[in-house]
Amino acid sequence: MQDDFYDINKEITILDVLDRVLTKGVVITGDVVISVADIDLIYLGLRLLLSSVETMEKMKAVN
Amino acid sequence: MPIIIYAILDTTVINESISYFIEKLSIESSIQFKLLSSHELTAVVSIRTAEKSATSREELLIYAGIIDKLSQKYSVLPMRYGSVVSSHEGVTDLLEKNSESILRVLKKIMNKEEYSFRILFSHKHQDAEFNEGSADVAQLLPGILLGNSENKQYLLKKYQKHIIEEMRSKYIEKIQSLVIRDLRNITEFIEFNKKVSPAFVIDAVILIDKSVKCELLAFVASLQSMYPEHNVILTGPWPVYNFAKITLE
Repeated sequence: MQDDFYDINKEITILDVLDRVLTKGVVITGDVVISVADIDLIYLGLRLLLSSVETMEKMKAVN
Repeated sequence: MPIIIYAILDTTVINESISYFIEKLSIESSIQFKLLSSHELTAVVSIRTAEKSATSREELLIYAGIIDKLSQKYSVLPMRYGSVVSSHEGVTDLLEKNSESILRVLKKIMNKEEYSFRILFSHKHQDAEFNEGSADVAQLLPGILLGNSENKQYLLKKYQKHIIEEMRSKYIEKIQSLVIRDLRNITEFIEFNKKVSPAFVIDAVILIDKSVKCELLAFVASLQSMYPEHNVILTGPWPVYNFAKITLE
């Protein structure tokens, strides 16, 4: 963060960063399906996909 | 290949040095950034590669770090994590379709920065203050609650809890109104977060002009000395996440 970052509690700051980047800021609407490593990643509302490619690969193998 | 969007800037206020800045950022972060422009707007993007497709806390922090670096240098609209568009054309279409609303918000946040402003109860103070209050409650009890039966004791406890909560709310309201009155002299942009914990007296985000930063710091310092029993916490400057609430289609 910036030199003049007035940070009293580092944990609060990390939570602040994650909260901001996941729940604030400019949002794009619309669903899109993109494919990474031959696995279709479905972005619902183009929001965060809380799954790793490894998990998706396992799911694909099971199916 | 899918394109990740980090931030949007007003093309008319960025200068030639941005290309150098983006190049430097690419070297530092090992991410190849590009600038895509349309309708007076420029988006900072990178191509999402297969090896970078897993989501992790580290990835989130890298994404946030890029936006933070951009916002230190330029007035940018930060994108939420997960802003992925399928192609370059998708990005320019997005800018074109939403140019009016994006430019309106960019104008609002120009040369401004965001801070988190919190006042917290210290555990010591909280306990002392409200236990004292609870002693007063005993003297104000309605006659109907007096007695030693189990039911009356239950109602009595509920009543005391309610009164203490009421006292607490009044106390918070009083502090809030005093603080906000003074904060309004610094900025008109104040937003309150939903309280996630009773430990908060105030949990707000503010957007200030960069030129009044010294006033804000002096205000926070004076608040801390005025309320030594509380913890006054200011973090920032942040990219303007809380004041860039627009949805692009």
